[in-house]
Amino acid sequence: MSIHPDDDFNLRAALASELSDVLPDDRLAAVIIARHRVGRRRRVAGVVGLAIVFAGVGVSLGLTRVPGSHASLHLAPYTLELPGQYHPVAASSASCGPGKPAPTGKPAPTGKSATDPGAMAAAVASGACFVMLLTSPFTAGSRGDPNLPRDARPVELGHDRAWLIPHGYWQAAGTTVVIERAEPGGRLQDLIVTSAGLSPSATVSLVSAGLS
Amino acid sequence: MSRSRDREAEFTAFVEAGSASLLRAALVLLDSREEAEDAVQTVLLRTFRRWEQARQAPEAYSRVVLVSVCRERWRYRARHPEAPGITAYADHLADVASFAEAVDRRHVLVRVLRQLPAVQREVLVFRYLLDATVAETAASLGVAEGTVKSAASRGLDQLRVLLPAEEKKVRRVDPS
Repeated sequence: MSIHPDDDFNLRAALASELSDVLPDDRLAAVIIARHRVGRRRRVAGVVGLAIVFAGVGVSLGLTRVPGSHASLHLAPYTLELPGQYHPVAASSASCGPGKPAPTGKPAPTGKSATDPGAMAAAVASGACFVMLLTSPFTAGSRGDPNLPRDARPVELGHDRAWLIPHGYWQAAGTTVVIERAEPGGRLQDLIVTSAGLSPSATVSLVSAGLS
Repeated sequence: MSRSRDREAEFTAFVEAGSASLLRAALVLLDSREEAEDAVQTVLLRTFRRWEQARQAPEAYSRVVLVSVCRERWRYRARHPEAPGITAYADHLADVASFAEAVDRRHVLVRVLRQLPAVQREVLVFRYLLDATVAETAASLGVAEGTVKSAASRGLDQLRVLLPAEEKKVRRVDPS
């Protein structure tokens, strides 16, 4: 084959002629489709594997729940076991949590400012919400527990001293249960459980059954 | 299922019509037939994965992917000069080791094109092998149309210099 370099173009014809014997495999499309299927199966298997691994890590960290089991809220030394339909969420994102300020502007219980924002846990289910928080230890003065408003009434909750407040902790709607425990050194500490979407009796019943 | 079959049928028709030109382009842009075939498979696989996107203009889409795949290989070679597959064509014409290699070495024009700088080679491949317009070439390569024109002109000038010398070498190797 002769290619005259000044012929501009002939380059097209020369290339077509020179490469006329360069042909792909007849089954190239089938090979590509087969490779794609294998790759897709591997990707799906990889995604499923990752999901299993993350689910396992999540369960072990208490971020997810195993179907059929209970959801747990941990605030050492307390654990509140809730029915399986609840799942743990960040307290700030819970509908009854501190992230949602009271629309009515109603003041929160007096001890709120003494709470540690990190010592909170929350769980939600369809239409229901639980937030649990541990107040800083305090010394009971002459006016008693600073976390108890005037409308709090004592309730039976095992051996603990507990009160039911007929409104939420951050919001007007809901119910709050305050459990008081003695700390070493004569100080007291309150565990506050506030709920939304549940009646006061249902809240007390769940706390009573699940708190340990 | 029917949608998947339609997709595969469309892709098969595209491969049957367009894979030969892709393979030829890859053969010029890369160093060997094996490497070109491998690159074309990669190009087609990526095209098939994005078929919903590519089906409007599969030829243009696959050409852009081809440029990308070839550039990836060039970059790999630049980082790994010791990697196999790099052939110094000009100095080893007498060392024909296999029939396939002998066939490959018949491609005088291909070998000369491979000696050109990357941009010139890409432009000549797009303009004269894939029959792309200046605008299409510029869009596929991600360069200005002026760059396409100047690279084509310089590439042709280089060919005029390199081709006669290369043909002499072939005559020296092939007594027939």
